[in-house]
Amino acid sequence: MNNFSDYVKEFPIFSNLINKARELVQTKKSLSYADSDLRDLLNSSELTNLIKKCVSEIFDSSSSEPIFLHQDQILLCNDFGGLVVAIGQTKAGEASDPLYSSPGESLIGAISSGGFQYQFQEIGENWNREVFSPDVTLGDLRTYDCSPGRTVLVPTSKIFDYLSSGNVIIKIAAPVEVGLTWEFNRRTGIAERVHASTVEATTLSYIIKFLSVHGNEDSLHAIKNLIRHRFHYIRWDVVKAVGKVDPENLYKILKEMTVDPHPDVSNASIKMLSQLGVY
Amino acid sequence: MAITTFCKTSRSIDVDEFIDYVESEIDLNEDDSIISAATMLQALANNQKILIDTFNRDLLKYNIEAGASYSQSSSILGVGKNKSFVVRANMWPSVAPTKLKTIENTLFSYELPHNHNFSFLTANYFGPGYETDIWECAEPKNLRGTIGEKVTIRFLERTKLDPGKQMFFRRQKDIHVQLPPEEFSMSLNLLAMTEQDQITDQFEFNIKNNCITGFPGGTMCSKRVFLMNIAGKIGDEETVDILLRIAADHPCQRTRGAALASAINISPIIANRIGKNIKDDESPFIQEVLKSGT
Repeated sequence: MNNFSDYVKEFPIFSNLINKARELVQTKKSLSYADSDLRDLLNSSELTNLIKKCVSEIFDSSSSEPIFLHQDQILLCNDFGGLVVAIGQTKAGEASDPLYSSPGESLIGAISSGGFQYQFQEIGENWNREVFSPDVTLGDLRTYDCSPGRTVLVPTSKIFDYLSSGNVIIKIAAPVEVGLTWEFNRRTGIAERVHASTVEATTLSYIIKFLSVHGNEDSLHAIKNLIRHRFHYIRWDVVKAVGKVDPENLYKILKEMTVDPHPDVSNASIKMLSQLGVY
Repeated sequence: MAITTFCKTSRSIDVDEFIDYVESEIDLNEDDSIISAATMLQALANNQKILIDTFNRDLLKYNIEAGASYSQSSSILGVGKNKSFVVRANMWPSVAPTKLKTIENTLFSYELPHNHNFSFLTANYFGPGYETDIWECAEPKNLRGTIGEKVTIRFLERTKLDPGKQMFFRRQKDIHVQLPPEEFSMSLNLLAMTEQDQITDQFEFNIKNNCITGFPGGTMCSKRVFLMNIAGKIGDEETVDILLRIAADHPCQRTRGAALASAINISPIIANRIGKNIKDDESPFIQEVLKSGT
């Protein structure tokens, strides 16, 4: 439990939804199994009453910062790296905006009276989401309406985008499962580049690089703690940092990484070992 | 020019000592008093071990399984016990030249002219330091605070937060653009918080056209306005009552305006029976809602 979900304790349907979604995340099952629970919430008066509670809190304490208030969302559950449940608004991309992949599964429910419009764009079945390739292109595009009280499951295997703006939604997001967020050109459908899929991963990457330059005698041990990180680029950052801080042990760590599950890491390790004349 | 100091000291202090110093010696409501903390902030910046130890500890306790969380681009080193202030270290990564807006631009607000609704003192902590363009907003207290409002802006300088340098950014008055440093850098900040931070706005500016272009989303004002907007779309008659009370009494004018607009959105009929206290509110946000009827 966390403080956020405690805030909705007095709303039984909402609490039930959070518990169900949490269970699904813990057992690594799809959020689609929480679909009927989300519809129960959407068709109840709890969301209206919850917003009333939030607004009352602003009235009661004009200068405090309520826990649920976040930028562009009302955050009602945050398991910090786990489940996130928030109320927000749709925002359609502009013609010049890229399209982004979804690094984690989410279940979205339409709250406001107009529902919302969205699109899905297919990508080939062989799309390896963890290995960037500029040859990946978007396929068929289909547009849909999500009526009030209805839901849509957003998988990581398709590109989702809102087509309408300002519609109130509730979003249940499972933890990020893909290390990379892909960026596609909206007009051409071509993959242009990838980003770290979480701010946390970006920050870790900066810290590893920082410690590799400014760190002390304890930093090497701390950096090495991330050598089994689930995202390949963090593991590779660790290798590079070890190369800087402890070059004598670079050979050992490179040898270990030749069997890394990510081809970019294993291939780069083999290449570097061969440049060092030891592979 | 912006208020810049080059206070030299060979001292190296820890966070607790700095916090005790600010608690006992600094009046956070007085700019000159905050600026006088520059030497001690530099003494704290001289203690590079603090941050290295913090990061070492964070990485060691980092849980490599899903469920771990590390999401700060700034690291809070300490907060005031009896006075309202924060001591934090900020990361400033370099950015490869590109025509595209990068994730770093978004995360670190690079190249976005903005002011702050709090004053802060900053010093270089690691690396060559970020560059910043600084303008001065004349009479920020006289701003109505609306999008498109013309602002008298004067360019002060382009400068760099070099090692050994401290800079003071004045609440609301200084407008700045952060430019990525040539190499990864870190700064150390003393943020002076007041209750005003919760009810006053920060702005984004168009420097070429000398006008306000937006409100940063992370401020309390923007967060409250967002909630009011949501309430206007899914609230009921009881919500209207609370919204009208907020529209009448809240100290933040943008919150009042958003609450009134949302109340009318839920129940258009109330536009005809809005109380005198709201009608007499001179805030442009309230007057705009009254004029448009939503």
